[in-house]
Amino acid sequence: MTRRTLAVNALARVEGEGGMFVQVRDGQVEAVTLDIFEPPRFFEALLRGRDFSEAPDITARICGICPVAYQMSACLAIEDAFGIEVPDEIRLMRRLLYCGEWIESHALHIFFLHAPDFLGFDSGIDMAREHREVVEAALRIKAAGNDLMSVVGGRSVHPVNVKVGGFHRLPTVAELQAIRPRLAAALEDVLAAVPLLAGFEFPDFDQPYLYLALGAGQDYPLEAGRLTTSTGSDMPVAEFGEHVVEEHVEHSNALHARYDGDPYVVGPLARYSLHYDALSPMAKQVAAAAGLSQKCRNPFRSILVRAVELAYALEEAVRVIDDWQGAAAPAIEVPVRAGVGHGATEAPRGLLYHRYRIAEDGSIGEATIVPPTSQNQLAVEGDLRAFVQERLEMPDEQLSYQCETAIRNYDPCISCATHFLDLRVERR
Amino acid sequence: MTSLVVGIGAPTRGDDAVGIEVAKAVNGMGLAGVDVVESAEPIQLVDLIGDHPCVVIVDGMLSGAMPGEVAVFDGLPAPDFGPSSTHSLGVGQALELARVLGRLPRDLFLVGVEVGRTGMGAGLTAAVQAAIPHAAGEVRRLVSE
Repeated sequence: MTRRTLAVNALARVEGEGGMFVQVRDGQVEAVTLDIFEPPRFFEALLRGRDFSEAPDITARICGICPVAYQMSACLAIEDAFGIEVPDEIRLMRRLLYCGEWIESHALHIFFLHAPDFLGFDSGIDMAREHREVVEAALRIKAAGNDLMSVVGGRSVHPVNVKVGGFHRLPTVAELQAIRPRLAAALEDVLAAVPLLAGFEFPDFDQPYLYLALGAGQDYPLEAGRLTTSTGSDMPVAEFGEHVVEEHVEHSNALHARYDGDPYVVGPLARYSLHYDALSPMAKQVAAAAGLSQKCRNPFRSILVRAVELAYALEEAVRVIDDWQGAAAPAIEVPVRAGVGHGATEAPRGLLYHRYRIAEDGSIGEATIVPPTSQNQLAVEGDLRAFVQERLEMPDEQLSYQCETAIRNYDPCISCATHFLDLRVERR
Repeated sequence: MTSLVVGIGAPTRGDDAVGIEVAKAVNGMGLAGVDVVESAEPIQLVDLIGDHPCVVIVDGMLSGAMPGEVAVFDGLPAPDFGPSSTHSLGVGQALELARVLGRLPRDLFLVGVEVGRTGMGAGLTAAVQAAIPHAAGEVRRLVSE
């Protein structure tokens, strides 16, 4: 019997918050374990006993890259518990703010984290030396997202302007018009970068994923919607817990989520494949130029789907700004009552679910937060299992590099709060 | 032209918040001609530093010194300075990127405060809390020079 242990100690961070381990015996991948630390567990405990109004700002601290997602899901869940729904203009302003987060997050991931993998660079810095124009353009795109976050969210990191029921203050038409040119220019930058991305070599790796994403009718899923799946389900967010079960796994301090017992995928691939029809004509053209068909099951091509979503978010932001007429009030009255509420929105990396039980005095009795990364975790492990199995002949360094890329396909939120990642390969 | 002070840190990771707390203290001094950004993702440095001749970055530091010890570094740190993650850049990487793109300021300083506890949970340890006035004083000295 030949036995070989490929311990790709990916994500082995300084404080031991993550690691990946692959074991191969007799030419078969036997075990793949991915261990990811999850700040949400800590925050769920932190929220208990706090006033409902604190939830958006507290949960925003879970992630420096997607604070808006946490704020939005928290607001929706609490508003659901109180039996209220914000008027359309506030929903639109939320959508606009959320576009800012997608723009920042997708631009960062596409150009600084994922593209270097495909171009053979160790980092975005090395890439900047040879593709300076692309990196400069990426910074402009990201800066346009920052502007949007600053104007609507109050500041570009950890926005402070969001509250249950709406906003503390709404931006003026003049403030929004002032940032419009940079958003429009950023869209041109994205369109100019598509041929480079489309020219990457992608491994042949279609997977039979079960997809879960919000569905919002005519609108591409973002700040609200119903739960939709690739098996044809369409249901209210309140039914999330009836299908998604998180389980403790012995090797991991993270929870692994399953949908009706099966691994599943949330994020750009799920949104795109389930709701291609809701994309704008321009975004569909970007998809065609990128060589995407109407569904995408190859996680390595997620970089292309992110580019489509990035273009969409920029165009959508401009559209909302152009249509903006102001609102009667920045927020609606929030009638406090005891109850349970559910909320889900589409974070850049996938569906983010919150559930709160709120007491009569407005204090939080119980909080549940299911982040996209824990929902994708089993799929990432499945990908790595299949990927390594087909590439056992590959030298360590190359295999490690490609495994990193495979993990990055999901833009996972790994040790988000502290920014550590150390990747090491051992093969015995 | 104004100087820029940027605090970096995670407010929910114990002493990792010290960069933000020092920036807040500097902001409270109301120094003329000094912009203060109390919290930033390192990648934002590439944009933030562009228009300022003098930039001071304040961050937690893990060097083996006693918690609360304050150190001032002049110039560009090594690219691998500070940690990185799957979806962000570290301070060293961000500054290296700025260098490659020709965006470095004339004067660049890093003020590091040695951290103790960085596990989940808000709040600084006593030694690090006590170091804030000293670190903020160093920042004021650097932007006044």
